[in-house]
Amino acid sequence: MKDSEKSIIIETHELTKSFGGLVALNNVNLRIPKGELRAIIGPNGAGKSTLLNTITGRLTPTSGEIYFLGEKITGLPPHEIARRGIALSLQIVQVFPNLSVFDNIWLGVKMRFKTRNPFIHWRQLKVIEEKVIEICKKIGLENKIDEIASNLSHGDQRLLDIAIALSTNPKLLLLDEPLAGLSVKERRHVSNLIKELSQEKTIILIEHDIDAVMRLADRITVLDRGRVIAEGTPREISEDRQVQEVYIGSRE
Amino acid sequence: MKNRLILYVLVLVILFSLGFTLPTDMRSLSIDIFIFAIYAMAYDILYGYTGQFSYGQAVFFGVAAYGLLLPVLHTNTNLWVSLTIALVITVVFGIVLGFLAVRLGGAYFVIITIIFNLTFYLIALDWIWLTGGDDGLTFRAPKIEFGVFSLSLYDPVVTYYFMLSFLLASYLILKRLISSPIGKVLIAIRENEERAQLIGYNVFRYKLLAYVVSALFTGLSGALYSLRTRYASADYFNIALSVQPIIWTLVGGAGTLTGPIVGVILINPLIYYIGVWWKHYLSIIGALMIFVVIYSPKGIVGNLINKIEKS
Ligand SMILES: Nc1ncnc2c1ncn2[C@@H]1O[C@H](COP(=O)(O)OP(=O)(O)O)[C@@H](O)[C@H]1O
Ligand SMILES: [Mg+2]
Repeated sequence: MKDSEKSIIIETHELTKSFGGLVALNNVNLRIPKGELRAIIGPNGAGKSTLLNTITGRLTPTSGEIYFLGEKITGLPPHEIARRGIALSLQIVQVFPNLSVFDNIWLGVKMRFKTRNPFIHWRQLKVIEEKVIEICKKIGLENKIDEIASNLSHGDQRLLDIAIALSTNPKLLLLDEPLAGLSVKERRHVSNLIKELSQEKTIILIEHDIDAVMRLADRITVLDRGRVIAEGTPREISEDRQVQEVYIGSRE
Repeated sequence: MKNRLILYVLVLVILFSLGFTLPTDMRSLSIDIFIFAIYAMAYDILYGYTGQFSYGQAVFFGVAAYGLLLPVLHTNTNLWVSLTIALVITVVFGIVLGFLAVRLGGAYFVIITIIFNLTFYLIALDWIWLTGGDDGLTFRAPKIEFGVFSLSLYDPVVTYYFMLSFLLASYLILKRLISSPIGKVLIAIRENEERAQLIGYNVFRYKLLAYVVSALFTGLSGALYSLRTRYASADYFNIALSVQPIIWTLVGGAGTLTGPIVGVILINPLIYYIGVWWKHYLSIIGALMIFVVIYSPKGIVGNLINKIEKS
């Protein structure tokens, strides 16, 4: 195996997903090396969320393969893919609404630990509690640790959603429009957080906020109608004619 | 913490002293309440904690009732052996039916549990050679044996403490279960199944576990009930018996474990005292349910917990 091969964390091979007649993903080939922050952009309906949904096993691809750390994960159920180290924060915030921030994160951390006695009282697992508090601090939710998730603002729920994803200690973090619907201040906080996380994790980021994407991404992949139409550094992408026509141009 | 301990001790002392002080009819009612409280808690594990709305738990009530009755009747097995047989059979049915119902999931879950219930009811009515059908079968309750020592279930005071011990043991076991990491995951599944799956939990396995645990304790309740009545009939599979735990749980408070017990304590005396002279007693229960759903949608205990947490 070549060195460059070894460091690929996720790879899709001719990945196709159709819904009836609609081809949401059309022979998508992606190769993302470890440690990279890859942004995926494209107009609405381009297939970006579908890509993340097939990677995480929420959707089964129509054809093509997905490899994670060199192993084929196509067709595995979502919980097994999650256990291998892929975490997703969905476009629509997904938390455990009637549980506290603490409990929300606790559940993710717990997943990593096997307890010898399954009937131990959950409060006795001190190692997990420490981790939960650590994650809360990192995310900036330490003052809201006992609040019920559904009482949080949308911005804080987004943070909590990312915290839940992080709590499983994933090798690959998938973020689907994490900045959507946030205030200017919250955007700054979340995008700084993403920047910080990208120091230690491989991230795939879907985002409409082009400025944030340009600032955060190592490389950008552009999807349009299920096809990859361009891939490159932020600079290359911003100068790409076709991309300007399809995507950036359409904003103006 | 200390208050809670005092409360527990107080409840235990009261329950214990009621055993020999209550008048006969109220003792008899209390015994029913103990038995049905186990059924109510079992339902709470399934619906209150895991969010699986079953409309057919009477299947396990009936299966276990016969699971206990038939060995005693035909082979004269002792109490512990027949109870074990009843529970093992219930668990087997729980696994098989649970596998199908949980696999289907969602809205189909409710429908398939109703179908199971109707099927079992009709079979029980039809297989008279096995079940006695509508008339049912009676049997002599075996003695409670502990080595050389033995007690008779024909003594109502003995029955009172016998059933009370099963209720307390069931409460402790289920309390332990829901306070464990497994319990937390069950709650997570109720709250957001997709999220639970996305962070790595095998949702199917946990839901099936909740289903089987619920079946087991529903079965315990059914077996104890047949032991108490020394009788079982096709009516033990009646779908009306599947509606009861839903009412207890909604009135008392889903997902609180003690709430459904409170539901039994409130509702069963109504049935017991009013049901004998007024055949429309169900309308009172209906009115009670509407009242609770409007004024305290989390159930009585659920509301109480909310108030305590807010204060
Ligand atoms: N579960 C689904 N069933 C049918 N069509 C779907 C489904 N999910 C997505 N689509 C369609 O696939 C296309 C791509 O959707 P999506 O991946 O959500 O786009 P994006 O995230 O880039 O906006 C859209 O046309 C959408 O309507
Ligand atoms: Mg999308």
